Amino acid sequence: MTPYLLSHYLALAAEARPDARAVEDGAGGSITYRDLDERSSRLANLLVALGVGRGDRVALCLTKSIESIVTVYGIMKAGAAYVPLDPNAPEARLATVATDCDTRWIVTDPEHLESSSTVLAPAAGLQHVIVDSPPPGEGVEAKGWPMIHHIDAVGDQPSTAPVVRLIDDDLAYILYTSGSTGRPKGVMLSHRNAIAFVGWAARTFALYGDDRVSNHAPLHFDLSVFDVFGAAAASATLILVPPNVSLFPREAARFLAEQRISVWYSVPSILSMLTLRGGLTPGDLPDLRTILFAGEVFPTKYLRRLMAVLPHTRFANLYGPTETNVCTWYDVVEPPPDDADDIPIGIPIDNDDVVVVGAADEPVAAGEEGELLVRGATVMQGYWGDTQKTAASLVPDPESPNGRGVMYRTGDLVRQQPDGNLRFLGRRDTQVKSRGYRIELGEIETVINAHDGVIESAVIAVADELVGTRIRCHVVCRAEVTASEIAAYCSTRLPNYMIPEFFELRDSLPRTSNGKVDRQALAEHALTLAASKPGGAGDAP
Amino acid sequence: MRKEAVIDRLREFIVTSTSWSGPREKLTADLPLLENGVLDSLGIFEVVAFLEEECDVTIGDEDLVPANFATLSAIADLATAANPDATDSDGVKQR
Repeated sequence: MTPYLLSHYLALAAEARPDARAVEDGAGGSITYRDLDERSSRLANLLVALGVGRGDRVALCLTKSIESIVTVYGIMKAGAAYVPLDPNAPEARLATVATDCDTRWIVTDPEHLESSSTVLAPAAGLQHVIVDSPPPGEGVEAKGWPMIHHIDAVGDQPSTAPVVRLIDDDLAYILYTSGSTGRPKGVMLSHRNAIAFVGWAARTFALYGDDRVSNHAPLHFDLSVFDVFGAAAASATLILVPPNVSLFPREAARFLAEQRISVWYSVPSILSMLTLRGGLTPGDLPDLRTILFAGEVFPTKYLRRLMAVLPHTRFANLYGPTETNVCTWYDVVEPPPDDADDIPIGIPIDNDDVVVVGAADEPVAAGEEGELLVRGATVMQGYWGDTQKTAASLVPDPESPNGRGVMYRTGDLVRQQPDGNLRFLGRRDTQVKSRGYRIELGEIETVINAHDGVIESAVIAVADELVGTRIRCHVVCRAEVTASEIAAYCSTRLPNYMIPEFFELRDSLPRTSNGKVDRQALAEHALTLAASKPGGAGDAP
Repeated sequence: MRKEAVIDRLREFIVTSTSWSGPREKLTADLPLLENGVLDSLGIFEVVAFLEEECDVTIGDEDLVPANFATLSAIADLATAANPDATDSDGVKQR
């Protein structure tokens, strides 16, 4: 059978290699393909019994664990799309997401049960909370919480997947990304979208059963799609990377060695830190055959150093907004030359195609700058519940034979090199990236401006070679408000990576001659500060 | 006294210059920094750069382990152990 649903990868692996380890948690725990298949089928049957069916959305709010992988498959086997919530995000934001995708079910763990039940569920109208263990305490019903189902209940369910008719255009998952108007957008990806990418990646990087594939990215970050399903497509072993490991480069180096990771995929900033502080020497990490990176620009000076230390490792740069999974890639065959500031984003992956267009959406000649548009199998179905934003992003494809095809506007400016590789030049708008996460500066401003004590604010991004970007907020407040109050306010509404690192209180914001906030002046001001204070530290009020 | 001064400087630095944005009062000397998400991977690098710059110490790669960054107190111990002579009575380098 050719897999056309993501759960088919699991079913095929469980058939071919039932006793092979599907997932290891990096701390001694593991599960075989047979058990992963059976447990996720039991969960799927429980979900179906609770009313989940084709096209529904089921949220999960789980610390990364074997259970979280079971849950992802369980939700899809029940016919639904999984909606991974960031367990570290403020509850208000999680409630916004759960409300937006109109879900009635959430799978969570004891750590997040209280917030899931008291904040999320009432706000979003969730009716069923499924918790993995232990059972909730006495008197839960009296608190007016929604129905709580202990995951032990899945033990009573059959271990074969429920029969749900799905096609590859059905949604597999919804990932929320920053939206410029202050609300996160739900990117809808179908099974076909995901499999077009995963299948290509598994072939291109020749994943096989003995591979040990790392999972560094959290499930709400789309890099996890390669890890989780690429490993299953090859019936390889997925190794969950514990959080502490990504904090400490030496720990990361030790983890990679001890776990004999053979394929690693992450944002470049982790790899830069590994290069700088990992203590690696040539000959280390002999099992690490492939390193993939995506999400931001890899500073070439660190890439060169890492390639020198790991001469046996293949490196590839994957590019693509969440809306396209991955749409282009660049095989880094040789270390970039000394005078290269960046490396190309490369050429389209199989079954994707790109067009570079000018201001009037006319295709530009090769070598000219323009916006990158993408058509093909990995392009999303749209934004959940937002036909306007969908129509603005998925535009009619003039070359579509039946006139119904669409192309995704990436908003990224690119240029095609003479050798055919695309180069990323920047953004058309104010979206920036930090540690691989997309951030709409307007969304941060919307949140800050909603604070009672704020008159106006301007959020700008300052380039940083390690993390891509640092966020800086200039804010005009009423007299009694302090910068730390605004920062604390942000921490209840925005995920950590969107909270400005520097807040500067000002009497007014600089204006251009036509009255707009002069962001250029603010950017120059920030650069002056950074230059006068090494490390950029200590310049906040 | 010296250690307390380093802790105060660290607290100020984390509150004002990293992505963590919780209240200053929460950041006690013994608050577990990693479990509470006070320091992320970038935050750790920023703290290291801060120590190297402000306290004139050199933090080796081998010092970058969870135990040394578990609490403000542990970081201060790391800084003072790394170079006990370089910190003056205020716990900071003379400029």
